[in-house]
Amino acid sequence: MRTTVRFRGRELGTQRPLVMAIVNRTPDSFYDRGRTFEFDAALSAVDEAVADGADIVDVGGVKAGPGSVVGVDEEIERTAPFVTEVRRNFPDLVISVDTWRHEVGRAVCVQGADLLNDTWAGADPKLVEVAAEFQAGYVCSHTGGAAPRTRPHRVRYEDVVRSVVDETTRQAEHAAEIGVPTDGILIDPTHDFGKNTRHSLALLRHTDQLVATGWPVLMALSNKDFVGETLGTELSERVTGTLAATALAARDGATAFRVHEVRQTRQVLDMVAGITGEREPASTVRGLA
Amino acid sequence: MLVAAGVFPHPPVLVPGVAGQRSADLDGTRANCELALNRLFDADPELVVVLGGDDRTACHGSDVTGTLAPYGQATTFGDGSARLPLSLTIGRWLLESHLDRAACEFHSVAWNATPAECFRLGERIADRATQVALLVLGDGSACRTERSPGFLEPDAIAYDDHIAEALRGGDTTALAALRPETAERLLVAGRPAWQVLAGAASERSPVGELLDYSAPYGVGYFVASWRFAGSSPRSGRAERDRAEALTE
Repeated sequence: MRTTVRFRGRELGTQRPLVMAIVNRTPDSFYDRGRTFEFDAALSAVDEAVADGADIVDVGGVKAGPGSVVGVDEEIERTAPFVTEVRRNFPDLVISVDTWRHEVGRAVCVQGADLLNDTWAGADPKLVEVAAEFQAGYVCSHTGGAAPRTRPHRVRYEDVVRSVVDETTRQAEHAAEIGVPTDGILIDPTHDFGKNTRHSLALLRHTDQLVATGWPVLMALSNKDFVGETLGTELSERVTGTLAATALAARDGATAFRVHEVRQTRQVLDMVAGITGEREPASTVRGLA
Repeated sequence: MLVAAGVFPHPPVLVPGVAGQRSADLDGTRANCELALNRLFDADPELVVVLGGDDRTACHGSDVTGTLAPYGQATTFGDGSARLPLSLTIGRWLLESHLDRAACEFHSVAWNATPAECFRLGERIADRATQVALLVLGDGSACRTERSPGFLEPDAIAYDDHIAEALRGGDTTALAALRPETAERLLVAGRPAWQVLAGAASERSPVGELLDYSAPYGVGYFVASWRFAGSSPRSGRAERDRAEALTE
């Protein structure tokens, strides 16, 4: 059963799963390759995402994979003024920022960010304290202990699902303990991070076990390597696989999806919710006239 | 006394099927592994010691199981009581069709073992039987290109080239001289195992042959075969002194 989530007072109903739109202010992220690096291009991407039905935008200032070094100041410069502008344009939109650094978290919360997406699983333990201080939401991730911006190399788990459940719930309980509002805490199995493709597939196969923790589950699946490896497709041919994974995880109770393709994801989630009965069809005239 | 040695890579993808449709990428490397294995057994060892890196140094004996389950693949080799680390699991897989040719033992060496510790372990392993063959699992740098698991370190390929030359030349001095901190920085998994080989072979005169040196996924893989000319042992003092000096 999905529960309502709330980030700095902005409440999101969960009649259907939520869509978190990725907007990268980076020149080198793996999928968009700098398409929204420029300030105005990124603002347009937010407009488009909202028009397509995004519930949350997730702003990133550093690509996840290894590459050129981005210092704290530069990451703040890429994210904080942008958050200011998005907040001005969309007073009610939930704004998330994807960062592992507490200095960045503080800078963006001052500018009105609602949610800190700590993709590197508490690599900087002060980031969750910033979420508590600003009463912002917080995403608890799982990387198997990987350092930020590193790739997996022969990573191993006795039981990857157990590892994810244990680590993300431990972080969620810690976040709640130090004052992060409990209805703003999400857990994310963090596909591909510190995992090979079989690990990532197992986590989708057992979405129900993540949902059973009681914490709302965020799934970040969009166009990732595990999709490409599963289908044997390159980067440009991963959307269909992403949407298939999205449909199954939604059916199993995931609360939110972090995505590149907002409109297609919304359609998939609305359709799944229609099938499960959580959402009324948009129109039902057929055979009833 | 060491009568033969073989050096092999140990990525999970060496086992056919693990990489799915891309398994064929390593067919050539597998064939060279088989060649090196046959040369190892041609030396008629009474004991084959399988040696690879792990979190700790240990002798696992011969009653062993290797499994790729922690890597998401439910494949096991053997049904013994001791569970092997990845490097030795790949060694156990390599031996699958050779198990009736000699007695086998599985030893791990700690990733952080000092050169001197590795060297002495090699000397002890060589003394375990009259005719010992060493099956060494060790990989080169995982930082060779921007697409490597460990991204790019500019000196990674030169480092691997140096290893390839040492394996080709049976150069125990070069292997004994490898510095742990460099290997760690370049994500080189083979350093301790190669230094055990250096210790085991230090009193012989190795004749090396490099059968394979490739990096299809950005990690250096080597297949090498060492045999030993003549039967008279020589002193391994120079290599031992070098290893001791590096450890101090």
